[in-house]
Amino acid sequence: MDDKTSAERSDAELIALVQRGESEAFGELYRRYLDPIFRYLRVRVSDVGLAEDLSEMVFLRAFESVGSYTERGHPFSAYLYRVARNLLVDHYRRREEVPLDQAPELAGAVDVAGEVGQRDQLRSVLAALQLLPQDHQEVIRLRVVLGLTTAEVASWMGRSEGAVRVLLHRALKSLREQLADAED
Amino acid sequence: MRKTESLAGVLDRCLARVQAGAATVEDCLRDYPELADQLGPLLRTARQAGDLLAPSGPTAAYRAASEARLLNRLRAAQVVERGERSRVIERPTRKRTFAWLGSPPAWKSAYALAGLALALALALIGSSIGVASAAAGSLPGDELYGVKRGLEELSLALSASSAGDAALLLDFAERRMAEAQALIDIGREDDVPAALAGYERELARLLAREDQDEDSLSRLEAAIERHERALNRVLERGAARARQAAQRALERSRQGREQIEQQRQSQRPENVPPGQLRRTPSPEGEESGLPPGRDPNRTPGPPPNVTRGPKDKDQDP
Repeated sequence: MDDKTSAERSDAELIALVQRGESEAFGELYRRYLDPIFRYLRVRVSDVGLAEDLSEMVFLRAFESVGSYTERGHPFSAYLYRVARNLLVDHYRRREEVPLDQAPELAGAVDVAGEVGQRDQLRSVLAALQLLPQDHQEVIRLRVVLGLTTAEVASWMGRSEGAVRVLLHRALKSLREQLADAED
Repeated sequence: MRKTESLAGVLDRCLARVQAGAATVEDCLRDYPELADQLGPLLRTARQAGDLLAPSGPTAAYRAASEARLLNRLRAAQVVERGERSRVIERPTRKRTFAWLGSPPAWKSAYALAGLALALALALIGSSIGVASAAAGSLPGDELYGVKRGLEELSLALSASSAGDAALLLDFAERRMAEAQALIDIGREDDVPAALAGYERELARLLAREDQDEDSLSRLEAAIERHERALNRVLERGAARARQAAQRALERSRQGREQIEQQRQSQRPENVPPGQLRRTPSPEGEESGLPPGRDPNRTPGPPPNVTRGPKDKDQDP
C-alpha cells in the first residue's frame, strides 16, 4: 500500500478514497478548493455571509453526491464550480432578484472601497461588466478577477484553452469599449 | 481571424506574466511592439478590473469553523462505517437497546426483513454495489431513495450496540437535513417537506432512547443546535412549503432540546424520590419492560410538549 499523505494525493485518488468510504479524504478536497470556490461566490453575491453559506452548501452537496461522481476529463474543481453556479442560479431564482448575469457583484466591495475616486471606478467597471454577454462576464471573472490559469478556466467553462483565449480577448475588448462609452 | 488568435495568445501570455508579478504591462508592450497599440489598452483594462474587483478570500475564522462543521459530518459517516464493521464482532454479545419497547421491536424486525429482502433482490440482479452506491446520493422523490432508506434501516436492524444505534440514528438525522438543503440547492422545493418529515422521524427515534448518558445527551444537543441553524437557513431561503416544513421541524427540535433537559433533570440525584436509587440504564430497567423512571401507564411515543422558561436553563450546570 502506498503511504502518501492526503495532500500528496491527486483529486482522483482522493475521490476514489471517499467513494470507498474513507470520508476524511474529502477534507483534503475541501482544503484544496475552499478558497477558489469562496472567492468565486464572493464575486457573485453582495454579502460575505451569503458567500460563506453558499460555499458550505457547495461542499456539502458535493459530498452528498460524490458517490456517483465520475471524472470525465475535468478536475474536481470544475465540478464544484458547476455546483456553485447551480446554487447561484437557484438563489437568484428563489429570491426573484436580478438574473445571474446581472447579479449585484461585489456590492459589498463598493461600500468598503476607500477613496471616492476608487469607488466611482469600481461602480463604472461593475456597470460596464454587467452590460457584456454572460460568457464574456464569466471569463473576465475567472481569468482576470480570480486569476485562474487559462487551463483552469477552460475546464471550469467546458471549453478548449484556445477558445478561452479568444473569448478573453473579445471580452476585454468589449469591456474596454463599454468603459470608454461610459466616459464619453 | 488568424490575427485575432495571435493577439489572443499574446494577451493571455502577457496577462499571466503580469498576474504572476513576472512583468509589468510596459514590459509586455516592449516585448511585442508590433501589437502594443492593441495590447496596451486591453492589458490596462484587465489590470483595472482585476485590481478593483478581486475579492478577499475566506477569513481564517470562517475557514476553521466551516472545516470543523464539515469534518463533524464526515466523522459521523465514519462512525457508521466503524459500527458496521464492529457489528460482525459484537453480534454474539448484542445488547438489547430497545428491550423496554418489547422484544424484538416490531418496527425494527419489519425494517430488517424489508432490508434483507431488498439486499437479496439487489444481489440477484447482480448490481447491488452499483445500485447501493447510486442510491447513497439519492434524495426524497428519487427512484432510488427507497433503496437508500431500506439500506439504512438494514444497518440499524443489524446494529450490535446501543452506541451503534445512537450513532446511526444521529447520522440518519444529519442525512435528512443535508437532503433538505440539497433539495433547496437544486430547486426541488416540493420534496423538502418529505426530507424534513424524515428528519423529525429520526429525531423522535433518537429522543425515544432513554438509556443515554450525559455525553450522548450533549452530542445530541449539539447536533440539534446544528440542525436548527440549518433549518433557519431553510426558513430564510426556502419557498413557502419548505418554510412551513422547516418551522415544524424547528418546533420539534425545540421540544427535543426541552426533552433532553428533562432527561438531565431526572438523572440528577436530588430529583430522585427518597428511597429510590438514581436512574441508570440498568438491567432491572430493561427487565421491567420500561425505562426506569418512566410512567408505566404511558405508552412510548412522541415526547410531551413541555415549555420551559429561560430561568430553567440558567439553573443548569
